[in-house]
Amino acid sequence: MITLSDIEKVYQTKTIETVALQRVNLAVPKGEFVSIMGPSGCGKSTLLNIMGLLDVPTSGVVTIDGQPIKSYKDKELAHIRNEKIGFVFQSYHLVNDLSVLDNVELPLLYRSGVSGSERTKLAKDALEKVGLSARTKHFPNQLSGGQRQRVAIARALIGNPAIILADEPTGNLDSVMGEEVMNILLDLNRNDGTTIVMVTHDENMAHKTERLVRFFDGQQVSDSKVFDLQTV
Amino acid sequence: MIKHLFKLVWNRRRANFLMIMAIFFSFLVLFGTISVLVNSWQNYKKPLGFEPERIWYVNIQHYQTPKDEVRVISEQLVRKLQTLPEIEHVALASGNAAYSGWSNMMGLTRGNLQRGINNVTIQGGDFKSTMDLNVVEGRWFQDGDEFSNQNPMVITQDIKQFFFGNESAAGKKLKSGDKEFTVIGVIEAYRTNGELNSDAGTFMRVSSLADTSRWVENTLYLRMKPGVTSGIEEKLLKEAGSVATGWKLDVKYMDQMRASYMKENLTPLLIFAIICAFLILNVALGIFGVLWYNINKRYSEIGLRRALGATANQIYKQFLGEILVLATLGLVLGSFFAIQFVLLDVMGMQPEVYYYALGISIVMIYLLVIVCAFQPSRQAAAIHPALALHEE
Amino acid sequence: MLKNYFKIAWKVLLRRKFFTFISLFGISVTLMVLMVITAMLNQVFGTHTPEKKMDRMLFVTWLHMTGDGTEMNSGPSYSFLNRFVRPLNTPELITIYSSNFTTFNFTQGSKLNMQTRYTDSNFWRVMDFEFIDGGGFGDAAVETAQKVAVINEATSIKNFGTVDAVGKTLTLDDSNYRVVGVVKNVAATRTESYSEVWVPYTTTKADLNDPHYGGNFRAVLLAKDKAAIDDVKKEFYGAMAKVPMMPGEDFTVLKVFADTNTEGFAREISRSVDNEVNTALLYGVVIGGMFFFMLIPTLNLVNINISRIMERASEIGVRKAFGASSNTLVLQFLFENIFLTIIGGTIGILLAVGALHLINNSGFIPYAQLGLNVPVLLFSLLICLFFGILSGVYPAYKMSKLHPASVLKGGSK
Repeated sequence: MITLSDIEKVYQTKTIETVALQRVNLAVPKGEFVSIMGPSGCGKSTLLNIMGLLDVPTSGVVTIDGQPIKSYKDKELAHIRNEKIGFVFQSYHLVNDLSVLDNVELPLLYRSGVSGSERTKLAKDALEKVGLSARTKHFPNQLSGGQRQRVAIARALIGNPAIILADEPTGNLDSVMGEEVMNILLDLNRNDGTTIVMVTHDENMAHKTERLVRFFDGQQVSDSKVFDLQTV
Repeated sequence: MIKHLFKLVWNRRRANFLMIMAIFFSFLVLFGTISVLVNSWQNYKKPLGFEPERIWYVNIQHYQTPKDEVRVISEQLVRKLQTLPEIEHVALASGNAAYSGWSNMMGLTRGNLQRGINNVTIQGGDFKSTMDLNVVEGRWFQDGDEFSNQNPMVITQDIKQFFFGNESAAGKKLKSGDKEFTVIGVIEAYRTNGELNSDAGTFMRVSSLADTSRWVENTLYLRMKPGVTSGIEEKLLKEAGSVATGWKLDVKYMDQMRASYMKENLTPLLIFAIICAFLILNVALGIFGVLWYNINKRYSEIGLRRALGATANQIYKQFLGEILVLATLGLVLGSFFAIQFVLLDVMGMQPEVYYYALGISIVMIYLLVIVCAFQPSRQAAAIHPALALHEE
Repeated sequence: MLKNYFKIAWKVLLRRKFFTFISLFGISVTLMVLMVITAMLNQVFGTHTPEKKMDRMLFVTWLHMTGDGTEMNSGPSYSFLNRFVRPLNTPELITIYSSNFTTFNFTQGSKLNMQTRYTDSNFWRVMDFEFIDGGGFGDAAVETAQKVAVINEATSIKNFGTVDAVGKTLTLDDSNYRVVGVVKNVAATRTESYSEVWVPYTTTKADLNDPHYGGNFRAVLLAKDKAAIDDVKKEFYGAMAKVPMMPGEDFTVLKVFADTNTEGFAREISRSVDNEVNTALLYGVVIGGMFFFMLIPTLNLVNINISRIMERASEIGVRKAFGASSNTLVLQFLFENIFLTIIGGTIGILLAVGALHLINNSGFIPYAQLGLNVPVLLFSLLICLFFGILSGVYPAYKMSKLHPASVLKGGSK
């Protein structure tokens, strides 16, 4: 579903050159739920940004849904992000001035040929999936953290993306809410076959996924099926 | 997308309220100022009807000369002046000329139609040639008209339109009280309030100096030959003094009168425009500052939208769109009040002036907000999504 | 403490230079315009030379007659004022004088126009001109129609090249007058005293005995004190009600008015023919106009201030979290805002001085001497404070409502 081949990312300032990613090769097949772990500054956020086409690699090729990304023109990237990728962030990034329903509708706003009524219907469906159909008229600041993250997941789902990229989705939540959000993601993966890549700090959460990739200093240090690890 | 913009603006209504008010008040100020400017401009475009260059406007004081003598001497004075080589034409008439500050209104009626009209009485000389009037219908006065019991009159085009529409006016009657006048001709215009002001129209009639029932007009209009300078004024006064001993002739040059009239009338317009421009500039800077700040505050929202598939261009359009929606709300409110002003006719101008002013003000406000929003919106569009979404 | 306030305020203003610039621009130009307007109003309506006794003066300048569909508006004639106004008892003094006429001479080889008034001797008692040289003409000079003249500084210089003109001969319309006094220039906006030459009314060639009511003269009634104004008015209107109509004319109604300076101005605008003219409306329009003019910059300032505060939301949150009370913060902010307004005000005063200088030198108002005096400055200071507080209060209120926890969490509402 998503393949990174020989990805390198180097940040250059006037005085120093920082290597964020070094020859990363990673393939995530369709329907897989992958966790990425590593200490702060290991480059996992950069990796997620490159996978999500929010950042441009210094070298290497990203292939999404069988299509290698050749051109990094703003318009084309925006189009691919909109069609193929859903994002979930640690701090939710909901637009405070929009209602829950409007927040969920956002991705469809940037897709041509979706009518207003269709948008509303899809948004309601997505909210139902995350168990928030009663909260469509609320505003984000009227919701708890867990609810907010569920809204964010609904937003990631609505465009029916090939892959969901989640950046520490439970990082701001207490364990109960974290569990709730994690279960939604697991359900999506199991029931709908959604491909998910999740960056996390939480070993417990990571162990619930099928596969765990560890990063250190911009390099992939291990890649294992979770049950293997558990058996070791 | 437009619905989305309205939602955003509406949901942020409390934060946006002050900005809408600023736009609303600037619109009202702009509308008022532009109405005045458009009104003046429209007046200015209309024909003046006479040529003020080289006209000397001479006010006569007869002091204690007996009335009978005044009549005789006035007649001699006009004839004397006609013989002077520097003078092209001379006329003796009432003093209510443009830029003089005098007016002399008289009510005229025809059936139900009624209107107060400026009235000029000509008592000697050739007023038409002196003032360079343009007869568009019928004829100008001729000898004998001053004694005619038909009371012949010449009216300006706007008066003709008012009373007779597109029909021909020559030969038709107009009444003032019990007195009946006969229209013999129509002149293009004779605007006694000057080119920047509107005018009620003018009619002219002739009377004879010998007619003792009428008082003696005390203003001479002299059309000087080209190249004659004010230097000959002293000589001219001496020549006049040889006929009209002891009288005072107060000479004013109509082009100078016109210049000071323009100065007096344009200065308030200029002050209005400057104050208006300052207020608008003030608001523009404010809008710019607030937008700039807002965009910094909405940094992560911008990143998010980019992540969800918005192109840089769409972000740019969104921010421009939001301010246009804001401006529209301010303008709707403003237009509502502006239209009340128009309906109540607070400023007493032609309705079309208001429509022009409304249109121009709306366009200007939109241009203003677009200019103000241009840079901040570009800045918003240039925000890098990965950085904007970066978790602390 | 105060020093600390200043230091913080100064730093805050420097931090956001663009916002500071916008605020200062708005405040200073607004104040400049208001100060110029105030200076002009003061020049037109203020109590100063020559009308030092303005609060005791009633002006009779307008005669209004109607009848049979016709209407006549003019000044009163000399004979009218002499017959019906001069005999009034309550005023301490009455002066009758003409409106301005243009006189000229050709003595310098070119034409020299001069504004000239014909006055009585009381004129010099009612008005307080500043004489540079000599003095006004007295009763004897007026009674015997002596050709004497008081001229202003500018006319003196134009004719004689010096202000030392007493005793010199001035030609007005071919008549020779002896200069007896030179006064400082009076601005043309003082419509009742301004002129360039003043001569005894008895020297006019016009017929003073012409019995028509309309003419070119006016009168000032000087009440004994401010309180006596109403008595003078009462006697005046009582006497005017008894004035017979001029025989041989069609008029049936005659109205003459005795107004204070501001009432006269209000009447000129409203063309009211009631004995008492409504000045409240005039004040309302002036104050309303100024308020409206200030409204936009104030709104703008409030807008900017809110942005300025919200930008500092996290700082405010930290301060609150560390125990600063809302009051301290609000006080600090208001101080900052008034500080800003006062800087703006100072710039505004400098701009106003420049603008007034420009207007005075443009010659647009002859002999204008617009300046900033104590009342104008006090008024500006008042506007400054008003501005500072008004534009600071709402943002300060919003600031006090900021909740430290939500601010620190980064919520934007």
